[in-house]
Amino acid sequence: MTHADDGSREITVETLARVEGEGGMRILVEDGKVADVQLRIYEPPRFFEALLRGRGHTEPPDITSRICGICPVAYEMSACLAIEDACGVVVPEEVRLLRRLLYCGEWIESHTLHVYLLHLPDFLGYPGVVEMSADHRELVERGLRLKHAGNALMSLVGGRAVHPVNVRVGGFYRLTTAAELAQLRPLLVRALDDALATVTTVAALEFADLEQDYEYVALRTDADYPIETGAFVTSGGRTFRPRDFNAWVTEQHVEHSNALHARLRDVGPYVVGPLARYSLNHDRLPPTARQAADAAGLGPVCRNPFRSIVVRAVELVTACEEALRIIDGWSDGGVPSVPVPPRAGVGYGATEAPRGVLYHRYELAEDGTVLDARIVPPTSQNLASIELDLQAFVQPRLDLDLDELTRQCEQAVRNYDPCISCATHFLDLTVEHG
Amino acid sequence: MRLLLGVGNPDRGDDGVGPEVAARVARLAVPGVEVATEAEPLALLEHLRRPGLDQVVVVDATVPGPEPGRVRVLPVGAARLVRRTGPAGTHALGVADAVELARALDLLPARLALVGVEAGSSGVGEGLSGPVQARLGDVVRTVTELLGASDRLADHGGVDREHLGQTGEPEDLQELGVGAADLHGALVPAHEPVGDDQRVQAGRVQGRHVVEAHQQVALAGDEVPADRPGERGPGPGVEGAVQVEDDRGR
Repeated sequence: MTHADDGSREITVETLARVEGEGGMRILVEDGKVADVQLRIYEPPRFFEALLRGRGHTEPPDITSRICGICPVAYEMSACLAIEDACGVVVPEEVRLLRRLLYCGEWIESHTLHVYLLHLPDFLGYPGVVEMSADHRELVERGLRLKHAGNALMSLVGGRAVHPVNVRVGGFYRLTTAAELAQLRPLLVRALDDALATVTTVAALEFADLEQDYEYVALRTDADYPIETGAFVTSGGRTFRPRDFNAWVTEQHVEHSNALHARLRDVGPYVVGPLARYSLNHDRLPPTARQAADAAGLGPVCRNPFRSIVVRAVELVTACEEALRIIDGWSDGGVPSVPVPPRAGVGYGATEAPRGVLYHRYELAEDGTVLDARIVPPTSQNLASIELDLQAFVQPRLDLDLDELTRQCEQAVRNYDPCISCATHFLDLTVEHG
Repeated sequence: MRLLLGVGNPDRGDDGVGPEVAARVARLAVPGVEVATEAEPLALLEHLRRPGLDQVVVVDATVPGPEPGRVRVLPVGAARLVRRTGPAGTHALGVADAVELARALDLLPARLALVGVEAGSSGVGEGLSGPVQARLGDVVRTVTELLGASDRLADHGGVDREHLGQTGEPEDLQELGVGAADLHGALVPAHEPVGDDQRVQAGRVQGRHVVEAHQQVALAGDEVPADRPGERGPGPGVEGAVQVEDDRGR
């Protein structure tokens, strides 16, 4: 923190611990008022979109799965949907179900990582999970047990835990068998118990008093809690299809960040992720998850970002419950994949990554060559709202000492589980000669 | 059972050095040595849960610095590893966190060593940089030394030399041992500055000592080469940056 003669001061956190990627935050205070909040991104910009141009239409799932070590399935799934959309292919129901099952594994892994290893130390007053484990070993063990269940599910269905290799455009290389799933079942039964215990644990935490009037954006389906598919809905009552995303969402470059900030048409900043999903799909929760949410006192809409940890726990229950439902209904004999012959066109795909909606758009040439690719990750959609959160959050806490204020601000940023490395893009520089 | 774990992302330039080294060691097919690759350091915990694991060697890229390709070995002993600053690169938790979490949960194997290769770049889709590429043979040698399987290199003679790139002469191995012990740059003590009298001359410790000296890691962590005193501060980035916190005698 620096104090200037004019009474202004600046709070700078150079790196945000326990945030995926590398980021910093800068809060400028003038005359006792928060004048500016900037979440700065300086992770080396990603240029996966450029990398994808010129590649074959079967390649984007593999290539984009490596963008993030935490949510590779999300990238694969959105890429598959977009390519299949471009080629006019609809996958069979068993493929959709197995995709949902694989995605459940990723939700379990990712949410567990965030709840137990990254966010819970904030609430319990520890600098990190290592320090927390000394006093709360059983909690950490439970978290690792849950993470292991997600890992095992991803390994079985996806081929391996990180960067699944079994996924292809049109389906899977191989369908998991009922016998294999039956073997995994006990692990997920235990995981469901652990997830329910997680809800109880985190519901009892103390939460900062911050309610924000967010515009929520999430996917929604006719039947289930949104994971592997859906159409867009917003808390303002708007609905639109993935193919209309471009018309509704604009991305703007802001000076202090390599990441683009997303704006919803006629609205401005908006929020994606667990809070949005939950609040727009409370009626789609499976029964056990819904009971857990009610018992935790969440209500049908949650507007306190600090309570996102409770929503994540409820989504952990959802993922375990859904995984068990798919496993119990699974029968062998389906077709692992359908052909996806290339054709010229544009395709759109949107799925619910653990951190929120992940949008892909591909333009293909007749022979399947990728002519253009656009990827909008959840974190870039949330960045503007995170800054607004910080602005509202810091103002009444300006008299805290710097260490404590910094700690609380970091916690506020972690509410969004930001994956900053996913959210950065290279700027496309165009030079115009007069 | 012994395990070599290569951590990193093959699409992120030199971050892919861990998986690449793992692939090369896998080709040596060392009996009793399993090889695995992971993108996320925390996955180390999954591996450590497996029973019958005597020794683990983790290869990962360290924060890009002035000497890409430089190899450092940190045998994990009684001293705690402390992440030097902030987040660990593109990963939510770094290798140091994973190791310390394993320690807290009594999951550490009898022997665990971290092998860090200083990265030159982590650009998307760039592959390994020239300097890192040039040291791959050395890293493989270091790893096989640590796993007590260096004879495999000789056994495989001509065929694998091709895979190993430039393996260099035995002197190189000794020089590597120096890198192993001095632990400069990314591996620095957490608190007390090191006095001149405590500094260790480069060249004193040889590779084999590192393998045997796993209980003395804290000592290794205190060593800062006299010719590089300025490298103890935090670097420009953070991936793989860990400190050794020596709380013996406190």
